Amino acid sequence: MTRQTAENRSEAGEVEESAFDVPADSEPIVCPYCSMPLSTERQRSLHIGLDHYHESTDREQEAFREAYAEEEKELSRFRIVALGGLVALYFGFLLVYALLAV
Amino acid sequence: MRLKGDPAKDRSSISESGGHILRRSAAVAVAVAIVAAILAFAAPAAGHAAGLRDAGPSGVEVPTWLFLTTGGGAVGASFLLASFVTDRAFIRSIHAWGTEVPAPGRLARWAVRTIGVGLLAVTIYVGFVGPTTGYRNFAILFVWVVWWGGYVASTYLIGNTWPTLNPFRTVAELLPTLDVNYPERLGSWPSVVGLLAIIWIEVVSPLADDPRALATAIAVYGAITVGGAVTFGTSVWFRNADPISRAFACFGRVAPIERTDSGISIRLPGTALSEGGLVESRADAAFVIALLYVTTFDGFVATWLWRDLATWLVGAGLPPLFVYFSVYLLGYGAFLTVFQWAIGRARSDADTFRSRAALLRRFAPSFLAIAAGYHIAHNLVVLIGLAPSVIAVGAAPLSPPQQPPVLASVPGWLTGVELAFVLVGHFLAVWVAHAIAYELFPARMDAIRSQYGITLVMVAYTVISLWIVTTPIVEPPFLAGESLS
Repeated sequence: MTRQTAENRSEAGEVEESAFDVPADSEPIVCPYCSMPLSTERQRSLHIGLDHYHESTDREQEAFREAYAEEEKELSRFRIVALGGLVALYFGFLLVYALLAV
Repeated sequence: MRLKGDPAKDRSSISESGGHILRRSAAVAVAVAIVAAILAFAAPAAGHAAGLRDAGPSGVEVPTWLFLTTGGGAVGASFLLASFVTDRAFIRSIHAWGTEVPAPGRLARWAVRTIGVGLLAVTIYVGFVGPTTGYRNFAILFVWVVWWGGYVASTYLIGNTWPTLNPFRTVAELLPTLDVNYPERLGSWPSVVGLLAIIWIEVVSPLADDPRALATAIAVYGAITVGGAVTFGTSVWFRNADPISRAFACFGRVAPIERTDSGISIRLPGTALSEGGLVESRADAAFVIALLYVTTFDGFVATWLWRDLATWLVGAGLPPLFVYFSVYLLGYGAFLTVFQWAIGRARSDADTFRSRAALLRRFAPSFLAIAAGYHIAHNLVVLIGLAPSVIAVGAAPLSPPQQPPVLASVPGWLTGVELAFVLVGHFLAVWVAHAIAYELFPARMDAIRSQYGITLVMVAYTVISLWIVTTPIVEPPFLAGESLS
């Protein structure tokens, strides 16, 4: 196998071939700054905002802020589920221990 | 030579020597009745080294399945907890925290190197001419207790000093190099094969009990290592082909102190795992997985499950060593498959075009924190229990006492310390994988989703490992008469 050297460093803007694997039949959205292939518009907005904020245009910065805020909503929903999971785990184990490990 | 954090071997072989001592001295003690009563209840007693086992189901009357589920649950819970941390700047600041100090001078390095070579010479010499009883021979005690138990722990608790201490490297550097071109296409695959080979030999041969066999093994390993380093050049050889150096380089990534080109960098433990560089190829990733796997296999062969399975397979007419070997390789194949699956999951869950190989390279190192946690859990009690033996035997390696002293009972809270290390290892691993995901994926939800498969594998690994460490040790079957040595 070919020796794949350093990881791609998105901060530095270098993208290595071996770091990505784009199937022939897919049409990736490509970052205009580092040509990193991305799956969705939102991923692209976020990627540009995170890695190329200073070089990006006002429109891209605006898109980044929107995508970030939208993401925040999704994260809040996830946090509620995660909290529920934690509570269920905790009390589940508490109950099982109370019943079994007297 | 034992290389990897191996539950049972530490108890069933090194501690067999240690275990004999302990059991014998306990027999002398009047208190043995009380101890026996506790142990009989707790678990069959290879005893002292089974620190975790006492903390396991047996000690507190928790059913095994519940103990295992709790371990898995703790890992799952730490994933959920980590997922609450979504501030990239905060994650980055934790991982960037650190400072750098100048490297020690040439004189200090040469002092360390001289000590390394001196200890190697003494070990091999005493291994060949010292007492043949394992627990009275300095070579056995030094290699398995001091080096394997203590020194290896220092590589992930403090920092990897092996490149300096490594006596084989020192010797190789003193010799002229042939500078033969290292075949590029081999990459670091030789280290993967070497690691699997070393652990294989360690499992099926009496290296942990027989000083002569151990000294021979070290000499053979030394000849191969120095020969390879002289042929291909030291840095190439120890980077690509030497499994022990690779293993310590991996463990060293967990440690807070790391030698860099410009000096010595000090960071929070484990945070260096989130950076690229350690695992640069498929072979490097396969090495990390092998490191995790051999721990598991080494412990697994000392469980009743393996005894029953092996007995059945051998009963069906298969040669014992073939059974061991094929299951050994099949198990490694299974580990590779499971990791591939987890990476495939991460790839599709995170909806990314990053290649599987790239994801594997980045995520594989996070598992090293878990391996380090288990290494401590397996070795801390052995190390402390046998420390008096090491001192007594080390003081007079050629005429050691008939019954080297051991700590008859180690404080109970040490078990708690061991469990704490297992937990810390898991938390670190979950956190590191979390931090890597945030570095790789632009969308935070994608980063969280990418962890589903990886967390599942970590939970499974925890449950299996906890089962192995808490299951009573049985002597691996068919090896006594079938040893390779």
